[in-house]
Amino acid sequence: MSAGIGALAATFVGLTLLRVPIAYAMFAASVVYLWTSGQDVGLLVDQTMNTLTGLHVLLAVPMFILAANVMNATEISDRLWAAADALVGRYRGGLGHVTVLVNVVFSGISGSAVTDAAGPGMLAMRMMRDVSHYPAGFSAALIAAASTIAPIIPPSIPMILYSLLSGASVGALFLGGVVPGFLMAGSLMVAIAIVARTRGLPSGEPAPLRAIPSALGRAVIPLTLPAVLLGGLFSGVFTPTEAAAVAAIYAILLGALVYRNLGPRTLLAVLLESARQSTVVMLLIASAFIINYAVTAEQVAQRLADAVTALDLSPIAFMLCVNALFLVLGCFLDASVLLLVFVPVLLPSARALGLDMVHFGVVAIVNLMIGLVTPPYGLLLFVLSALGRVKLIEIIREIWIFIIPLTVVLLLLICIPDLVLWLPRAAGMLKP
Amino acid sequence: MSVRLQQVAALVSALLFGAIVVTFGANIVARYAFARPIIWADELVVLLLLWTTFLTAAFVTQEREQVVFDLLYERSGPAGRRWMLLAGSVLLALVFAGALPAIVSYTTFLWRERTNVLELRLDVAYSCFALFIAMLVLRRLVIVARLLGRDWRGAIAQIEGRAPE
Repeated sequence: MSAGIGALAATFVGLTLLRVPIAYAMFAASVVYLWTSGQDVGLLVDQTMNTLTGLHVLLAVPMFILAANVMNATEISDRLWAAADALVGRYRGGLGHVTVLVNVVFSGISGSAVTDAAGPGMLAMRMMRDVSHYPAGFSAALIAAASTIAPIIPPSIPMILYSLLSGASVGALFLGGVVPGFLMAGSLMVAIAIVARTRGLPSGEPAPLRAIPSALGRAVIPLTLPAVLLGGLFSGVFTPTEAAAVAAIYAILLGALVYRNLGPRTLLAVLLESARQSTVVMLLIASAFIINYAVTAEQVAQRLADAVTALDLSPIAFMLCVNALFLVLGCFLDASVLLLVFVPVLLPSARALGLDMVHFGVVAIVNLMIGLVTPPYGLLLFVLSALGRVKLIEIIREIWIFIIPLTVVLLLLICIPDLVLWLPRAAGMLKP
Repeated sequence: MSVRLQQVAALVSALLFGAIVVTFGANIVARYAFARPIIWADELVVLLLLWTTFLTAAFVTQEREQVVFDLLYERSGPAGRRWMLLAGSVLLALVFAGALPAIVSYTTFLWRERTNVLELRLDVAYSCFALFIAMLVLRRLVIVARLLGRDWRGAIAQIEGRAPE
């Protein structure tokens, strides 16, 4: 390891332990790296600004955040929640199942795990912790785990980025994520059912049979949102980035014209809240770029790829090794660093072994999403700790219950490629 | 920051963010309804996003909204927390104050270059980053001063989000 990378790691770890915001610690670590390796600190401006302006697809992040905030402010989320509650809320630990179900629907609108955690996740936090007195750490851990589904069920920001890196079709990747997304949801619901019994979580009030159609009926208009979005995406009317803006604008129109609960004052408040949330996330992404620059310049990922290639593995053994590596790295590195730095250097080896790029990509992204909830470095854990005002240690204590089922799904996806490839093949997006 | 300045900064952030949505929406409508895309729209939304991000980070975002790693911090008492925050803030201010001249110099050096479509001067377009770094140093120094002052417990409460900033 060079002195530069050593200084970078030491600065980052030291500053974060002193409770310096993670984005600032990453920027500071990269400044120290540039100093130590004798490079111009102006590269910080170059890497941050040129990469941000070059990646148009990043615009999807603030737009999805806005869409989620509008849906919360206009009670669209509440309607979805009420419908899911009428269906599964009556069971023991029912609110946990409701959280997963609402996340699945929201995944069809949002493409980022952080957005789901900040949007319906906060509604779920209110319902679970504040209304039904579920333990705060358990509620936050469950929301974090459920939020990982968002970038797996289309649309998906990481899949858009992966398609840019690998040349795989966005449409095929999106369809490839559908079955894995539902498998993840199912595995989490099984975990919730087991925990609910062993720990005696409360059951919800069973909704009277007569109330179910009306609760579902109230959710019909909000459910047109994912329909319009996915329809527009797959028919090619708009690009994935534009889909994010369409989701936001459609939600604003629903609130302003249909439900009439989004006046100018509320809209301004929603815009400000979205600007604040998107800034926190964009700073994390921007600071990851300059770290990427350092990691790439020092050929850290290249050395790693050489080591993996030297093992001369079979395709399945390669997939297992790469995924084991990602699971370990995901505990310490951000998903964006893994996706933008480590995935590209492994792509040539994966291609040479004859692995399908859609299969490799979907599996890698499921893996990286698990990385978002594995401590000590897990972005979703941090976001939920900050937004939900829950101590990080309480979330970390509970998150293991959900990491296990998600890892089982990952293993299934690695061993049975058809779980990913069947749907895009059936739709004619991939050659059989 | 005075309350008035905070309100103005918040309004600017909200309006900039709104401008991103309007530009995006206008371009989609122009492209699909009138088959005439607005050629400068893509560049404008990206520039608006840059300015929204760095101006909001510089003037609006508060310490309690930031993503932090607080496992060690949470296990410390009030005095320990005060020293951790002090050390972190001093180090951060030192690093960025040291980096600021190079950042400003690099940014001003870009005056010859222009953006592709709107042909805006690149030093002006990218100046929000230098502004963000300068404000970051300034705000860290304010935190240091408050942590060294008499009401350091109040300052910690604000940083942790237990009291309004």
